[in-house]
Amino acid sequence: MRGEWFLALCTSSFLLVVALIYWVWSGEVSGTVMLVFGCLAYGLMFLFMLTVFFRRKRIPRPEDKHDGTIEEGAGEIAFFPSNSMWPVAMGLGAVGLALGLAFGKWFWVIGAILMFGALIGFATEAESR
Amino acid sequence: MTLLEERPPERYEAPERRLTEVIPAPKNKGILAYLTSTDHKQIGINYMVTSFTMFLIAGAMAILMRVQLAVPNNNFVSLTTYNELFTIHGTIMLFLFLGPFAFGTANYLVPIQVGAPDMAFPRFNAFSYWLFLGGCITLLSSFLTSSGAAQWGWFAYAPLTEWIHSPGPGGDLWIVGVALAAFSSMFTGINLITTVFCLRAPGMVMFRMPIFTWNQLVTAFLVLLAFPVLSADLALLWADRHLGTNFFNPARGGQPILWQDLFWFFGHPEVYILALPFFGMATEIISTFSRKPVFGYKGMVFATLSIGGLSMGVWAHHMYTTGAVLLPFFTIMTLLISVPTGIKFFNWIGTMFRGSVRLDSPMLFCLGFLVCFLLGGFTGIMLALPPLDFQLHDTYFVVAHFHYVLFGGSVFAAFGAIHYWFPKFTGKKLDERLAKITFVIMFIGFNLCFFPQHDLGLRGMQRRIATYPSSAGWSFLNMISSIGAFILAFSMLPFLINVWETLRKGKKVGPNPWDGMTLEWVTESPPIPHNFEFIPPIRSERPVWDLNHPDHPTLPHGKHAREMARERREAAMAGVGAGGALGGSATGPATDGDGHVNGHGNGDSPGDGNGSNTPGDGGDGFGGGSP
Repeated sequence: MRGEWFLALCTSSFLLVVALIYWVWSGEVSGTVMLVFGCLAYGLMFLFMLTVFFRRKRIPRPEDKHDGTIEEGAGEIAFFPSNSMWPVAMGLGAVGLALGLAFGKWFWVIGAILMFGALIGFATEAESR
Repeated sequence: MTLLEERPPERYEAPERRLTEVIPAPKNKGILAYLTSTDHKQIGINYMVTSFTMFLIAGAMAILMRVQLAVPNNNFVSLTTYNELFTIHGTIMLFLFLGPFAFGTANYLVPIQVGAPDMAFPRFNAFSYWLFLGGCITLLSSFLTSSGAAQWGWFAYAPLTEWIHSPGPGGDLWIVGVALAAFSSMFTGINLITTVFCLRAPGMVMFRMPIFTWNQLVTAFLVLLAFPVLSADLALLWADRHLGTNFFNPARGGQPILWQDLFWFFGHPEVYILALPFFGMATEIISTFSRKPVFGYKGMVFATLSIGGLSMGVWAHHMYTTGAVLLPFFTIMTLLISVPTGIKFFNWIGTMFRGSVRLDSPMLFCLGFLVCFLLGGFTGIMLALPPLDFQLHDTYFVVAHFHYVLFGGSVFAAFGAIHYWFPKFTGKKLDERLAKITFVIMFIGFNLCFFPQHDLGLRGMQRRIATYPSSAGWSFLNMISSIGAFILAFSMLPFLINVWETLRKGKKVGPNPWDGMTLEWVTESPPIPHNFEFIPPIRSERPVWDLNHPDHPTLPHGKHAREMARERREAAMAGVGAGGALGGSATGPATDGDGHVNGHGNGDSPGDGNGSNTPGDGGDGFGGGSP
């Protein structure tokens, strides 16, 4: 995990430095705000990864070791469904919600119903397997 | 005991990386399989096909525009239609073609290149594809509304976008379409970062990932910084149009410059989002067809990272002429970007240097990419200088510049990638003869189309004008440019015929037709569900090469190489005599690698990695030994 959190830390601190220089030099608000928010976002990512890193007691994962073997990675990885109808239903719902922004509120009703139903299906799918 | 000696002589069956119980798939066929698939390969193909279709549509719009501009005082399309055309052309090319095409390749290739069974969130991945498709359809449907499509250019400057200036649902559909594409990109970015961080195969440390994966990772980082700003920007614009707010309305105390600031804060990283993945593709292709590891692997990674970082600090170089930005800051930052880009060029040429270069079609496209992108880069440096930019802002010089960057750079690399990975996507290799014809026509057409536009810009032709008087002296160059555009469009014909014919009656070519080096070339073509039956041991940044060419392995570099060298020395001191067994040929690679590793001593600098890596390899492996 070291490379990963280091990357997030670098991004965050680089943005902080640029934000400071920009603020001191130009005094312009909107750009500074955006840079600071970028810095905070990656700072958050860094902190999260750092907690994961220490929760694992800094033991490197197989993919962090130069001499990791494929055998070390055997076992469960994650949940990978092979088919699911919920993404496309959610996509339809999202497009409905979006079209409501252009054409009027009645689209929102369709979009919201689809989105809500699909979200429930999506969230419960992993448990009901 | 060194790692290179551990390499098994042949393919071996590694224990399967077991997946948590896969949902028993209802055997969906046809359209239902397409609708419900969460396989990253299917989704990647979907992305690529959809975005390529959008590319053809937007290209057809470009042809209409070039017809209009071919002769002075033309009335081929109405002025309103012309405005719609350039707006939607730009929007599609930037939001719905180049970005999603890059994400399509990322979807397909990144999990395979890092040895993962799928993307980290497969269903989320499918969801982002459907958002993208929704964005495409929404944007195109705006042509059918009573008000017509948006007519405000792809960067939609306020206050033209206010309701009072651009009424009707066409503009709203533009906002919605772009917002859907933006959310799709963000979700893909999250997915890519998680995949790269959490699903790599054992031994695939960060500094062994292929450059393509690295570039996609940095792109995903940029996406997460840039696209939320765009979404916020679009939300403000929508509120201005519908809720009566006045963020961008100067008549009521709003600030039009705020739109430009927000938009370009997204827009400049977006340019790199559209370029970095294609740099990655070019790197992979150049490395494979030079039959050498990437020259300066770490330098390449750091160049990508610094391009990504610096691109966050250059947004206002699009806004020099507003007079509201800090010129020296943005000039310095913009000029700084040329340094890592130059490093990349140096490394691409270094990769080819003394390699055994094969001029197959993907490599040809990459050479075209190098030439055209270099020109685009140069004009970019010119435009970074305020005195020049004040002269050339919003002229055809700028149009020529970004077409050289985005077409000459990204699209050429994209075509290279299509030709390179087509055997992996389909199992069949595109016909080389037709592919080379495609390249030649495309290269000629592209340069004929866009090179004259530099001069047009210098002669003062403004971008986005729908017609011009014959007295302006632009007629000849415009005619040349339009002829070039037709040739460029014509180059799609051999390509599409090639794809069609290959899909219909191409021969199967096996998993590794190009003698590729990264993990995707070890699995079947197209890959089996969950990608791998076995993964070779990953001991360098090109594990498949090491597997296929045990006598010319990629030498490790950096800290790891030093540890290995120390171990080998200790083993030799102890009299075990393991030193000579390294690699195949007796003295060459062992002493070469050893000498370089020892010579560079400490320090993890990029130079160290390169020094120990490339010369040894270039020297021993490729002079005579390439099959």
